Amino acid sequence: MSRFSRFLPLWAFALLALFTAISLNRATEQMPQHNMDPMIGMDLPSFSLKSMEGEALLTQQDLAEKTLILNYFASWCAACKAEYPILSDFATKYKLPVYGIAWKDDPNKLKYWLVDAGNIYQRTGLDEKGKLAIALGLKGVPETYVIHNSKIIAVYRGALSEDAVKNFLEPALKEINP
Amino acid sequence: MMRPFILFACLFSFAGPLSAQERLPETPLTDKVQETKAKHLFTQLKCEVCQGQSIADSNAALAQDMRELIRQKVSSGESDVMILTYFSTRYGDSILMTPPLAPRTWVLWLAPVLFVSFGFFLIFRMFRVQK
Repeated sequence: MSRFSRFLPLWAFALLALFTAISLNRATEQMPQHNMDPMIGMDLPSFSLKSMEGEALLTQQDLAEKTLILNYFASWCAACKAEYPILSDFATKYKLPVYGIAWKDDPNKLKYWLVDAGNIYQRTGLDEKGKLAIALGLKGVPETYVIHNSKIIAVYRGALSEDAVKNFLEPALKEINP
Repeated sequence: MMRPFILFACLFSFAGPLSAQERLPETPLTDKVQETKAKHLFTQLKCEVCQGQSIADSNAALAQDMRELIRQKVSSGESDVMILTYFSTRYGDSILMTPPLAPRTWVLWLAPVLFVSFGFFLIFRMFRVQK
């Protein structure tokens, strides 16, 4: 058996690994990172949620403003509190209103959480059944969406960091306001 | 002396997340055919927050909400394809337990076949050399 054929399985494995690496690299290069979420470009789903502002419901019509941030969070979620200053800075920098939607939360606990965190939400809805969450492709809290003319233009799934804002949210805003 | 306090503090720190995971019992559909159809669909969708589990086997809040939504959609007469498409347009094809055969998934489908064929080729070759 020649030396080459003795190591044939190893060569074949190395070749396949190289092919896979090239394919994966090409797939990620083809699409900018911030455009990869399936929800990008989709219309904001219609919804009607109880809100923290008394009797008034929060509906998709309330979010028909030109550009805004929609933040899914919960009072029981530590990461939501951790991302709060970054979310607040991002909203202030671009002068965008922030709407909050609390996922599977207790309104009483949420009330105290909002006071404690320093409420930055223009309005806060309560997604108790999680139906809107699924319509938005939510995987967990926190998640942040940028909405422009009732269309989702940016999504970040996870706790916001400065890098996440720079790589996922700001590029979309620059596309609509070059 | 400090031990009971530390233990209590540790248990208390889990209380918040647990309260968020409180589950209500699920109500199956009264129509048995529809319930069977819904249960079959549960096995075709991956739990997004679990490791390799379908939503049929998961206790996660999101999986429970998905099951409830599927039951609603089944009872309102939506077809299997419509329901699966609803989820895959929002979560991507990665939510499907069986990824579709498309140009971008060819490697995924063909790689095992290639590996097995290559294995057989090597075995065949080894036996031939030994002869």
